[in-house]
Amino acid sequence: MLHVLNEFLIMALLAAGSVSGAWLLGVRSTLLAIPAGLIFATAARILVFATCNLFSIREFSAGAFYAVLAAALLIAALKSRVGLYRPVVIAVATGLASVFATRIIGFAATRHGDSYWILAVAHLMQKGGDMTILDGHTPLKRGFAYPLLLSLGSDDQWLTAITPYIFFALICAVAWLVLSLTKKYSSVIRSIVLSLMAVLSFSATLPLRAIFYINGHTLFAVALTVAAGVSVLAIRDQMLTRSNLLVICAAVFVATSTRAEGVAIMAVAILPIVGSRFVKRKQVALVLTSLTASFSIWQATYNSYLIPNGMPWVVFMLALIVAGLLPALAWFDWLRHRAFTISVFALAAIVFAAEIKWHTSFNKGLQALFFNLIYNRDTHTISSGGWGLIFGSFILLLCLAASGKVRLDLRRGQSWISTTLSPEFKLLMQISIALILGSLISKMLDGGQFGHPDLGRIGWSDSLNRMWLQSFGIFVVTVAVGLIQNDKIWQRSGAKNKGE
Amino acid sequence: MTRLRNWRLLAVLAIAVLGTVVNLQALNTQAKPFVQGNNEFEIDRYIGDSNWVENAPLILSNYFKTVRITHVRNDMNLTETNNVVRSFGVRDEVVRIFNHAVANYDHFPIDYREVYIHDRNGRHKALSRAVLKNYIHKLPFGSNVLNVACAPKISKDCTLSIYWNSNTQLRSQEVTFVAVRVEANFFALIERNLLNRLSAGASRAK
Repeated sequence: MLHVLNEFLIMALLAAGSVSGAWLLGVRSTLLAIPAGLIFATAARILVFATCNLFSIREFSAGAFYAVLAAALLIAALKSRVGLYRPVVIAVATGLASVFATRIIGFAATRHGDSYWILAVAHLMQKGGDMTILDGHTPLKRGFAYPLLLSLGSDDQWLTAITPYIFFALICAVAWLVLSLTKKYSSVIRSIVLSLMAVLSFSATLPLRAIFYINGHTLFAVALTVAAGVSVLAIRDQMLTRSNLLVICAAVFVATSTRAEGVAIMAVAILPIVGSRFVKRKQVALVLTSLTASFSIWQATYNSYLIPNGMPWVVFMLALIVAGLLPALAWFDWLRHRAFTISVFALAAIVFAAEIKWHTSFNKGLQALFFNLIYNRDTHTISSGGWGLIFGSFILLLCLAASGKVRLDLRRGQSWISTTLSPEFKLLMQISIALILGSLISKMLDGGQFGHPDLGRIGWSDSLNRMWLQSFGIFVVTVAVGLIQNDKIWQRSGAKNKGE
Repeated sequence: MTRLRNWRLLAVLAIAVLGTVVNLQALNTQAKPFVQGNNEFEIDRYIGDSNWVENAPLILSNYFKTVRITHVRNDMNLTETNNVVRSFGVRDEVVRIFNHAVANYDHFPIDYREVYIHDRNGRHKALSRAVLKNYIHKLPFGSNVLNVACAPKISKDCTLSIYWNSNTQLRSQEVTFVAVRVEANFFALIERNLLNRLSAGASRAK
């Protein structure tokens, strides 16, 4: 009973403190405050632990982190007039409901070897154990940020409620982004589309499994959805506010230290904002530094096998950060402003070249991908990966979202394709495509480090199959925004479109 | 209702409804997305109760006060000279994280595949599944056998069982387990005193 009470208190402090932190940093939206707060809190946890590790006082890291949360809560309570209490109440209620679900009802994840590794790492962090135990042995894919959150539990136990809380933060991030991108559309239409997306998503096995599944995918998804979402909004409005910049930087920081593929996937996701002409050079430098600093802090704390032999970690960190800043130099502006488009083609070229070089294993992998996401021809079952008909439905819904809005024009002197799709929907589509290609390449590298690049195997536990959870938030937003913004879907039969 | 005569809206609704119905049907036939009724929240117990391939040292350290494991040298990487199964994976970081156990990696598991005893019943293997079966420890997840990583990683079907004499061994004791190869891909962690007793007078096959 003491453990349950302890977890209730930790979750209440984490929820209230994190939302207060977001409020202090300028986040005023209730829906964004919860995921952004979680991201700020996770970034703080990483920094506090890494600092304590530097002085070999890891056992104090949890206490110091609670002090940071309490300070944020106190300062926000003293300063706030409006906009703080609603997100705090929702966050704390969700935190307590999460504890109730895991501790009282006893909901738990499907057991999986990767979860055991992550829990073992969390156990070491919790005990303040020597992190060099993991050096050179434990693969990068166990992550850093998520085990740090799990290690906040008491007395050799993990913080069970954090995983469903992270999932709730993802739901908030998706809802916030859809509503923010479709503000001028009818609330009835937005509610219908969000409800359809929710019913479709929560009727399939894998999104439900993600609620309690012990792995960093959902935390990564929150950070990715928030970073990409704030970027899309900033590009739409041609303005990057201080608060939005901080949210992007923190999200990039957290995602990069959550999963091994974090650097690569986040680098792709932030290219649109980094390549935007309206973003100041200083802002570009900050976003890029949050990517490289986070990764180098992780490497310096543990998993340092990527640091070349004999190189002091400070030198490695500085080298990585300086190298990461190169694209912010004026010399590279010509490349930076085109980087996103170039990167999408480059990623596609890499996948295509790999398909030619490793034809046999890739074909097997592509078949596994199809079996996992759509239909398993061998067993005659829908989606062996646990995705049900989600991906099949999304493809059809995207076609409907674009229907009547895309025209092929083969007349001379005209652009081949003309569209009346909104710029933000087109950008979301491009980001989704880049994320798909980035995930395929990350999977190739995962197998490739052992000399056998492939695209995975059949079954829900295949790492590529689970990686789709990370981009799932962006996929849902893309489909939902496309459907809401296509007025041809919502007009009465026979009525003419206003724009025509 | 006039909205519903719009084919695009009808198609959106149809896809969403059909997708949901099919998903729900698949949900019924596939493994449950999560379980209910879990009451184990201690990390070492939660992991120790599982059939995780890295679990052997943790199962032992959850049971005994202090555990020493010997003969667990495991070179996992496949090379020209290291191309036959000789051992099984015992990850040092798992041993050290749950630090009630220590492992000695100086030697490979002792090969008992061709070690025989001659007694009044004739000639039989000193250590075999049949000889060991009275001492087998039933693993926390209900099986007697744990899947482990083969070293080097040639095959995926190496297995391990754990043996001690529960009549003489107390939980509060400090114990030593010796890794032994019993069959081609089957290994055993046997408590040292039990191993000494079972293999007394054994001779290797010529």
